[in-house]
Amino acid sequence: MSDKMNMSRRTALKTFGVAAAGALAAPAVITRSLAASETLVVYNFDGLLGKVIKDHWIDPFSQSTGVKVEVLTMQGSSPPMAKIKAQVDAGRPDADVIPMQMPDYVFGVRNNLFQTIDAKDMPEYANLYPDYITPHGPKLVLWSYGLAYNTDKIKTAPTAWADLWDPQYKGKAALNEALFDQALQMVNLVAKGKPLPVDDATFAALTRLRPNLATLWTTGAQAEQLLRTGEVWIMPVWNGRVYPLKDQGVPIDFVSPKEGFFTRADPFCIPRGAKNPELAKAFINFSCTVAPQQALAKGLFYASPNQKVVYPPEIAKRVVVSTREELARAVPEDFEVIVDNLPDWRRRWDAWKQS
Amino acid sequence: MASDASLPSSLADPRGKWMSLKNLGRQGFSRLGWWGLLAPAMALYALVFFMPLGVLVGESVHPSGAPQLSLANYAAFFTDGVTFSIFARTVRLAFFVTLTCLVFGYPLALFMRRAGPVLRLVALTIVVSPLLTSVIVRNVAWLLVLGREGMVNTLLRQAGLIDAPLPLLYNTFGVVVGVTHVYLAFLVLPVFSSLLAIDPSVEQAASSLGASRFTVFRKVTVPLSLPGVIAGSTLVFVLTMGVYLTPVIMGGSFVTTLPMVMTDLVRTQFDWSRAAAFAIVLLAFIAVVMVASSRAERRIERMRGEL
Repeated sequence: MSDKMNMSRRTALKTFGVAAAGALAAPAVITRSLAASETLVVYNFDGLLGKVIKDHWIDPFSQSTGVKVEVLTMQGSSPPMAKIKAQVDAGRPDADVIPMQMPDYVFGVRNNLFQTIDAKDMPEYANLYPDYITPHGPKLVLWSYGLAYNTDKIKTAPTAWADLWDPQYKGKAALNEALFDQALQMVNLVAKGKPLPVDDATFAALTRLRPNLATLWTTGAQAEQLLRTGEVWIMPVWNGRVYPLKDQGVPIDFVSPKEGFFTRADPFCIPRGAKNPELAKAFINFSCTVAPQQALAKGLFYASPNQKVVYPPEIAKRVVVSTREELARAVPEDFEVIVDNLPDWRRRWDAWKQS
Repeated sequence: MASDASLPSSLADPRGKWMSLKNLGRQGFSRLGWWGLLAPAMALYALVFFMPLGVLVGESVHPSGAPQLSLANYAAFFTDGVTFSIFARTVRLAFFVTLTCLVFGYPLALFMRRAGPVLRLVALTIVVSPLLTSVIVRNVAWLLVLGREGMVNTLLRQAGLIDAPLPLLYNTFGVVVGVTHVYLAFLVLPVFSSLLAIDPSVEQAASSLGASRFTVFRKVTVPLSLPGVIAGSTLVFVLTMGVYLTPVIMGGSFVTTLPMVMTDLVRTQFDWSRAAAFAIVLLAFIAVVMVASSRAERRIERMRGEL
């Protein structure tokens, strides 16, 4: 495997060399001041994910190319869309690369906030699953949403989302308020076997779940605290939050429920009007390559759309979607529909919380 | 709030009204200079408050997707079937918090008035200390105290007082505890200062005329401290109307406040126009509360004048 990784690092370097040469040859770049064009500005996540990306994507890119990379840390994992839209509309985005959550991406596309990225400029695209390539960037950081449970309190591992409704978990379960759209689809999987539509039956099933819900949470840090203290025994959460805790000795584990699990990924986009689109493309292309992708899988168990990434068996289990077949088991989500329905779902969700 | 109420009356310079023609020039200048003192603050407020407020109002009447001006966003506040009831619950929460602050804060202020300087300083430091810690640290500390496996429930269970853990968290009770903890200072400080302003000889006069200690408290101390009570309660009420993080963390999002609705509109629905309209409604409500409070204070001042 190490041979393979070395190879790919070399390929990556070569690839970048070509991209950089292309960038330098472009007249637009030559006329610009060299100093300005050599600093790439990248939005990064906070927390552990941000650290892994800094150590294994940003720093190696910076070292191998000599490009200075400035990092802007987001609060949580969602970019500040209001600010980004205002800046793009004014023609002065403050970053060259921004990772998007899918609903943010749909909003951005509808408001024409991103540059299209030509596959010709992205040699590594050849190795990615085609459905993980958007016109505005590759979808990276594949996180999987399943069930976390406390192995001290729950002796028989849950196998299905339906287990959340088990009366023995009265006051011991929780849901993610920030991803309530996914919670609604999960409820639908149990109640009617398919994720959509969200209707009265969805909320009736949710009401049946209410006695089990101790709380709703909005950030991964909150989820972690609930699991650590034993306040909550079972809840839907993403894999990258669970396994690092497990490795610290917290008695928890993760299962991907049999009704189907959710996988989401973050498109890495270049805002329109970005100062360094060529460098941005080089960075995104480098990020797609095997070494940075493998580092993320090893560090935080987020899968990669790169087909060349090979996971050792223990990691394959943890990244959940290690193969094309596993990926096919994920519940398909239509984000156009989700974004269109969010205001209505939110009102019904808020009304449900009050009832 | 006390200073807001007294501002208009002190602005109306009685000499100015009957200024003779002869003095007009000189007084006019000094008056101009006096008003000039406001200029830096006004300039700042125009830039950082009134201008953005104007932008907000402009945004609120341009609903996304509608080409012309519309009050649809304001209509939605009252008719979308959920926002108004969340607003009503936010008012209810603010009312609970204000009441709790009064119950804990007023006796504390009384104590501080009687206490010696050292004890007073200690009490003051304790009351103000929550303002010096981060809201997240404060709330997470409460989670450890009030949680199902937290200190309170563990102690009560070990003492055999309860069988099942009490629901102290992720409900209105938890939010009231968390918010009261920090906003208590905003009630105690004005009440304390209005208690300090009471001339002890007034109370002594009442008791020398035969009033019992309770009568003195009820008929003299409480009425004279009312301006502080009103100012403090208004502050706590208004601040609680804008509370966001504590209901998210200690209310487990089951306690929804209007600021949470607005945050969601901005962050996940990208409906800035509607969020702006809701913010304006909240602001208008707060303005009404402030006006009512300053009127009440003025009425008390007038009553005192008549005595």
